[in-house]
Amino acid sequence: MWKLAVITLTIFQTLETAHPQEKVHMGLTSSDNVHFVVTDPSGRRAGRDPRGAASRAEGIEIGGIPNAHYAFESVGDIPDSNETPNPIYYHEFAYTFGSPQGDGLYKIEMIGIESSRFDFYISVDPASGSARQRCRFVLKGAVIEQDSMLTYHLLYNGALDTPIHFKKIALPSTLRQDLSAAYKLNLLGDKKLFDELNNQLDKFERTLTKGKEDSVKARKELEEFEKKIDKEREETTKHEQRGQKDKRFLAADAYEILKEDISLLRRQFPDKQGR
Amino acid sequence: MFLAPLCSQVKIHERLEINPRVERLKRTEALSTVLSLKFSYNWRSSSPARIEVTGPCGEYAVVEGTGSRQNGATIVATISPASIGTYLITMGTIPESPPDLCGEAYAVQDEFGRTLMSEESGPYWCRIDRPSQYVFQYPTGFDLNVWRDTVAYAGTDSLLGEDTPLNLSWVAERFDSCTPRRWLDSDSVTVQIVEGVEFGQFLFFDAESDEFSRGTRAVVGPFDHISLIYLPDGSPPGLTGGKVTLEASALGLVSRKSFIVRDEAECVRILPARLVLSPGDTTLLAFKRINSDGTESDFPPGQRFDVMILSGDDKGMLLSPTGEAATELTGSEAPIRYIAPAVIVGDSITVSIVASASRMQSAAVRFKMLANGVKPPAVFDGASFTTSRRDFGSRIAVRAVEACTQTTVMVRQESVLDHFAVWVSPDTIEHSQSTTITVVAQDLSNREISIYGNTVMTFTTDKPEYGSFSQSAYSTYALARAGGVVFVADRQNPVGLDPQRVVVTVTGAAKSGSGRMNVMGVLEYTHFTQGDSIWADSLYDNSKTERISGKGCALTAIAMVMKAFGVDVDPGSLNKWMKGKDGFDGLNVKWWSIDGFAGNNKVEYRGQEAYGIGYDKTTRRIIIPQPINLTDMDVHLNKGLPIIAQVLNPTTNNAHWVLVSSKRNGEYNILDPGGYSNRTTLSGAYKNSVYRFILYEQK
Repeated sequence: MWKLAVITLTIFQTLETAHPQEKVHMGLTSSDNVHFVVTDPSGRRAGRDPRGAASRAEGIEIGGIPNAHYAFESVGDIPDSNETPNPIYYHEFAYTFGSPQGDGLYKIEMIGIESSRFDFYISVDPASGSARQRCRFVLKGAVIEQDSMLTYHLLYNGALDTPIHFKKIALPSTLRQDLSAAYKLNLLGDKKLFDELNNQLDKFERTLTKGKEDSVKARKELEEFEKKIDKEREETTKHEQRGQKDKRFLAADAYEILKEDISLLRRQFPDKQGR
Repeated sequence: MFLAPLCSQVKIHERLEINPRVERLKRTEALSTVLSLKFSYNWRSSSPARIEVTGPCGEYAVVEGTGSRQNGATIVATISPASIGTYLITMGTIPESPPDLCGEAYAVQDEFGRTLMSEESGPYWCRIDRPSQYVFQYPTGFDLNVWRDTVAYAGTDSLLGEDTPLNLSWVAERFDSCTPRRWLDSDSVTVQIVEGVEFGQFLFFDAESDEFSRGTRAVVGPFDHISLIYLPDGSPPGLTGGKVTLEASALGLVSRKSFIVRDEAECVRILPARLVLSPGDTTLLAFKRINSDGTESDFPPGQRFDVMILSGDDKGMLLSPTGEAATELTGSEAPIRYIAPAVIVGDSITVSIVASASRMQSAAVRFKMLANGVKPPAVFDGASFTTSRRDFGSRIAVRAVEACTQTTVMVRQESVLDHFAVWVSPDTIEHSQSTTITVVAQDLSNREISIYGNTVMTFTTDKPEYGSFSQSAYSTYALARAGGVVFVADRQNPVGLDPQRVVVTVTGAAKSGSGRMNVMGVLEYTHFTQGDSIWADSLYDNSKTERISGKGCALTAIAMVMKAFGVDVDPGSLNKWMKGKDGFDGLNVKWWSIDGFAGNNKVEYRGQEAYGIGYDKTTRRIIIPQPINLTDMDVHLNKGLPIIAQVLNPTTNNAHWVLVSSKRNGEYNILDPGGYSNRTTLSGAYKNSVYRFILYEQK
């Protein structure tokens, strides 16, 4: 059980304006239970996709972005030591581009090699190291199912005072996928609770198919789903405080993930006033 | 007793030449001939007898002898005929002898015993007072002999620059009176083409008009110097050729001979086995036929060649397989060799050699005066004049002068300083290393020669910015020959540049030479190890458990790169900086993060290659891809730039990072952050296998 599973969405630094023709290093690093594919603002793609690969761990190479390099990264060799090495492997996407030519929206599609939790590090660093737009995002403890995909957008602009965004693209299916992953990863129990939440998502999705009028209703169903997980989390917290462990529970990590999905989805539906 | 006049010796000077202006085809031979005629008288009688001969120029001989009725007797009168004409012979028994029964025979023989004329009579009563008289006409015939029966239609003679590929010419001294016996002023030979007039004509000097004329009929003479040129200027039909018949007439006598003109012009390529020789050297000359379409082919076995050195006797000799050595070989089979002169003037000479296939030098015609149509004793073969002593000096040579090939051979003097060979060893050095320069005086044939040891030698380079000579720029030859001059790459370090080719030029005694070397950029590394106690226990990244000793191989390798470029850093300080400046993603170093390191204006991340070693969690197996081709790193290493390479540590069976510092003698030298003292090259524990590498270069 992960006790400190959080989703951190942080703009690490935002400094001065970009210099014309500035060389910028983009580094995307994931834990090795996911592969990811990057699509640059020009629509070119690079990365690895485990789906359909002979070796899911190696995936199928996609190499369409010049100067981009996707590789295994490893840390942890212990030379001259009696300790047992505990190497940590990553997947690293390194891309050097010129700003502002390479500025724009980058789409990152995370694909699960196995149902698991993963970390993801994003950094965009001007080569000069100072007086330029630079950013860093850290995504920790995200959940993903085998072969399922989570999509993120990274909007980079080296110009002065231009916000740099990194956000998850949430769809109803994303919420259902995260719910399922949380259950499989034992962040949610028991089966009855999972079914209850799943049924609520069914209601939510059914109302979506009925047009604008029903989008308001769908939002209500989504809010109903939110109330349910709020309640479950409150119950789980009480048990945790008592040192009890109930088989019906919702771990904090799963709760945070589902809450973020709900938050992202809620913005896409009108409220009662049609806003 | 009568004495023969002093005209019994005839000197005939014959020359065979193609063109008086072309010296190379000249051949001169002096011929001395003693002619004699033997007039014999045979009779059967006891009476003595006498024979008396009188020639047209006063030649006279008389002989008497004792007779024998039983066995008969012969007397012989010998004269040297001074001229052509009528000889009167009177013979018979001497009147004072008693009458007797006689029989007699008369004969004229030349000096070779050939009977030119004979007559026999008797037996009858000897006519004591009525000697027999005979008239002998000398000479009795005229022969036109063709040496060879085929000549080539050669077209334009490019070598000689003339359109006269076939010449007829001769020189003969004339008979101007009975003393000496020469051809007479009025004597001339008329040569006429009576067949095949369409294939060529004569070019001859017309004495009456005092200019050269062309025609199918030429009257040549007097015989002091006659040049008759046959021009095969009409293309003959195909390979069968065209038959040409010449008719020569002189002194009322006529003779005919024929030859064939063929259109088979071809060139000969001379291929000397060596183009540069020392005096006295010998080289084989090979020959190739150049066909009309420009292709080359071999000549058939037994092909004969005419080969000649064009200019002067001091240019060496040609040697035939029969041992004949001359500046010109005619009709010689291969192999033919060229022998360079033993001594030459100056440093070198250039020798031009021309050659043609022999059938292009094809026909010769001579005039020969014979007595009463008697054939000469031997075939006149054109190579020997020994059997032509009976000639009266008239001769026509026919020769095709096609020779469209020429080659040159250089003969170079030995033991004359031509240049210096400059050896640089080793020829590739790193910055700050040195190399030895050895200078050797050589002649044109690249053979070492001795020169004065105190000869002043000057050393210069075309890239002085990369190094200097350990000696001053001046040295003695003795020192330079002993390898006493050293070049030290002690100036600019060409890191980031391809190996710099530096040319060393050595000058002395007005000669020079040069050698080359490569100066490679190289960085000076400090070998950091992650287990160094100074930083080994420092917490790695922002981890609360992992330390540099366990996780810091890549970090340590990067620190070595930065330090080599002059950045004041070590693994400990770099780790500290990277913690605070996002140098890590997770525990993973960001290879490019050092670009922003404070004070680093010297080195930057350049990129990376290959996928690297991974791990399959589902199977719990390490993923080891195919190693890269190590030479993929060479371009970078040859510039003196570092590479951080991922290898498989056989000790831990994990991916590991090392610094590849250089490639020397095929080995990739490394600095291992792991501190393994015996791992200095990729070829050891790491089995020359690299799975991924990171490039850095100077900013």
